[in-house]
Amino acid sequence: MEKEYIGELEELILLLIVTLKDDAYGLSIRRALKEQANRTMTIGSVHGTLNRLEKKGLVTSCYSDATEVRGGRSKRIFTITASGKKALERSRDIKVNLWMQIPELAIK
Amino acid sequence: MNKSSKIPKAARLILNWICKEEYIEEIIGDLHEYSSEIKGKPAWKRKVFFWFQVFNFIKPWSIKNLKINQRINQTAMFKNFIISALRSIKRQKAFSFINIIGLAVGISVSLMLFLFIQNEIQYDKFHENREDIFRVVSRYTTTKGNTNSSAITFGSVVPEMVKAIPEIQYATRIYNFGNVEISLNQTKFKDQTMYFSDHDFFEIFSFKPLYSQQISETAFGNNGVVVSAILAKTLFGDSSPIGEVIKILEQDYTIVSVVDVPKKSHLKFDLIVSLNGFPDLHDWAYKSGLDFHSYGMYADGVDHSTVDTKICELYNDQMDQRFADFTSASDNYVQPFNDIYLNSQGIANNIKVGSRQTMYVLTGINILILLIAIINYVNLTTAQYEKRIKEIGVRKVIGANRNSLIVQFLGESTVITLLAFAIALGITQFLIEPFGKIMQIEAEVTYWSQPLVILGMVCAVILIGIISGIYPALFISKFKPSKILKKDFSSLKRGTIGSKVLVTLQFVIAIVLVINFTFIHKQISYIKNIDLGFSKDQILVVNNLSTKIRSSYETVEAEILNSPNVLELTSSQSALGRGSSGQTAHLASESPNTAQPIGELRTGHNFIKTYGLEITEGRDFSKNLLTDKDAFLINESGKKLLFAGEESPVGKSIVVAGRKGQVIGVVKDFNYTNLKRQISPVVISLGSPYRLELSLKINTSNIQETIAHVESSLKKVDPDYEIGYYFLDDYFNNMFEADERNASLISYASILTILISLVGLVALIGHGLTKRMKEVAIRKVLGAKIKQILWGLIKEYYWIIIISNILAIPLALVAMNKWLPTFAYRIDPADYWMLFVKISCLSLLLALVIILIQVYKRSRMNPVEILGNE
Repeated sequence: MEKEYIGELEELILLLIVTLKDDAYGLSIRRALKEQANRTMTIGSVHGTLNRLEKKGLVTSCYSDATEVRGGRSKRIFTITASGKKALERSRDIKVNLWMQIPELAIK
Repeated sequence: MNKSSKIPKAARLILNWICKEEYIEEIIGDLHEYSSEIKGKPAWKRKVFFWFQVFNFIKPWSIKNLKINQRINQTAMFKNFIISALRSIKRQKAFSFINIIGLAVGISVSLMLFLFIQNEIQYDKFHENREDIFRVVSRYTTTKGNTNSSAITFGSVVPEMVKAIPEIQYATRIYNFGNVEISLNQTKFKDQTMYFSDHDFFEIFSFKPLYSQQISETAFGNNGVVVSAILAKTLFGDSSPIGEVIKILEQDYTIVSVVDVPKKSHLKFDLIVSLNGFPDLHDWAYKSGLDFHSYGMYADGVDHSTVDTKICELYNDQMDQRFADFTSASDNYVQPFNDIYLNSQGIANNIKVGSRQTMYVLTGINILILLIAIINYVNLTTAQYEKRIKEIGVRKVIGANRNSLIVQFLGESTVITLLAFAIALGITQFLIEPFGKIMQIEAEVTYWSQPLVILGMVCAVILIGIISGIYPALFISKFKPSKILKKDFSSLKRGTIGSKVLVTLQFVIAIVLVINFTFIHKQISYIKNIDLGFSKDQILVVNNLSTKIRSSYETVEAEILNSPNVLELTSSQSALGRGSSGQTAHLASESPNTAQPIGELRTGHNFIKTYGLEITEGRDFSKNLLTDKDAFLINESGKKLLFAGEESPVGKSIVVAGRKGQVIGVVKDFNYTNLKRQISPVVISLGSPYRLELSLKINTSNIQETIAHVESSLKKVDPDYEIGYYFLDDYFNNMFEADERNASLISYASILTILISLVGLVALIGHGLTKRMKEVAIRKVLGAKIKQILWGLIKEYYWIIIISNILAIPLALVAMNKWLPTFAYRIDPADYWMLFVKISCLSLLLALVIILIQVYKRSRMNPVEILGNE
């Protein structure tokens, strides 16, 4: 996992999974992306990213109970794993570190 | 069901079909929720949004894995496929070579034939107005009941129809003058084709002018000439010839334009001059017979059929008046321009037409060859796969499933067909020109500039690959590995029926082609050796005579006859066999209303002797009797036409085209027109103004010397004369060019199909015997003699050839009966029953040899080797 980098979208979705807690599934993540990051994506691409994250071991998923609004289908709730957290932290650290190196004036 | 009603069923089906099962639950759930999310939007938007989302689920991660890819290291597997394919090709070098080359030759031949066909179809396609151009065709029934069609019409049709029918935008007459000699600064150029036409010619047809864009009507009408680009290049090289003066038929013409005459045009000319310059044009057009080609162009947006009706009415009226004497009905019609080149069979006086018959033959052969090549390929490939059956068994044991084997086989056959296709392209590139020359069809490789055609061909080839691989793929991959490895091939036996049918089909095609080829050959040699009623051998025809020579014929005659090599000499309007001029004749004692159409040959003295015609009654023309200049000789058919019963016509007077004269003799029937037609009535007259060609009966030794002598004799009279000549028998032989071309095409095709069929038979036997080796081995062990085993095996394959023969002979007969009636003199296939027997015997013999070789080789094997493994 050491060499596994996460992409920008992956990072965003990971963060949203953490924020959404128990309600982090495909459609809710898509909704949150729109509201919080102003990004519209197809459900398909959100699912794609989630599956990728799961394959990398950064999130796990489990099925919740079926609900009426979903036509009797269950939700697939995602939760972040330890290595997911680590990846987020590492990505944050790298960025913070970089930000620190920029003299304040340059960015203004 | 109710719960999932929000999602269209189709969407669920598609997703279920495409997406991995583990994701379906989540995807469909999310889509449900999504559809309730967008409830507020208009219905159409909801639909678009929803389906957009659905199709966005079709992504690499979501798609079900094809079963073959599961848990197999794909690259390694494909590598292994290629290796094993190459190994099997290597192991059976000769076999693979025959297989691939066979297919390549098949594809290449059909590719070339395709190009020939394409070449013919592309004729006249360069005219921008071709949809709107038409040609008027004359068709009338004579009082004798013959219906004649001709591409030439009265000269009055065009001017009258332009006057009367405003829907015709342009119309032009073309008078095909034929070959003329032109001169530029004393240099002469022979054999230039000249048309007389109207200015509308250039409005109707799209012959591209090279220098000036417009061809001025006044300049063209005022002794102007339009020349072809080819002639312009010969005369003036690359510089512009506009305004230069050339001499045609002793008259000066100014070049007003140069036009490009494409190869694929039925109108072919070197020069066009205006009809205006013709003296007595009006009389000629309004009084004379059929002389002009009439083309016209409809105005934009008019209904073609109503205009056609008007034209026909107008022309029928003209013809009813002018041809009243000998026609019972006129039924002229309008032919669309696009039909002219390929659809003018049966119309006389065409300028240039393609042969629809040749096209049919080409297409037929094309399909047959491709079919036979594919059949063969399938057979050979199947046989080859059976040799690899152990490999398949091992693969299955290791864990290959059926799908992966099918993919392997299909992939292999596709790659091999593509390889064959590449070879075929190469062959075509090299052979198209020489082959085209043999066939006398101009064709070139045109597909490189047509990506669509290339794409189509590649698709077709891949299809062939799949077709040829599908049978072995589905068939062989089915077997249980345990049976394969135990060499228990009992379940394989069923498969041979398909191959047997295919091989039978190949033999049928091959035999049909061979029979047809032999018959065409027989028919042509029959007709070439037919008794023409005159001798065409040793006849040298000298044409291109100038006015000077014609006017001093006696001097010329004496000069030429000086040579001992010239046996006889005569002059005539045209050499015998090249047609006659159409006239009408009736008995002087009867009214002109009884006139019948008859041909007239205008000749000089000595015509009968030179051509070896036989006089059955009366006498030949005599130089000593001046009255003979009005006399006629008549042939036997003419006698039958004009004189009833057995009375002798000698001494009776007849009127031919208004000229009254005595019949002085009857000539035995001879064939003076196309050999495809029956002999028709003809009169021979003395016509000194028509001394257009000299016919010489010559000694066959020292031909060159004789020609030189003739030329020098003629030069004595006219120093500017350049000799033009041909041999009459060449002319007759060339008459059957198209048929001979078809014959040679079919002969190549039949050789090819025979070879391929024999290879197919070899493959079939090999394929069948492999499966029966155990049976043969056991029989041997039990004491069967080779002879007995041989007989058993031969019996099994021999009926294929017998059935093929039974099927092929009636088919060949049907084809022959379609072709033979185009000849007036033809052979009767029933007289040649021996030929059928011979061809059948030959096919049986050839097959027997092949079967024997194959079977004998195998029946001599050592049974221990076969049974040892058990």
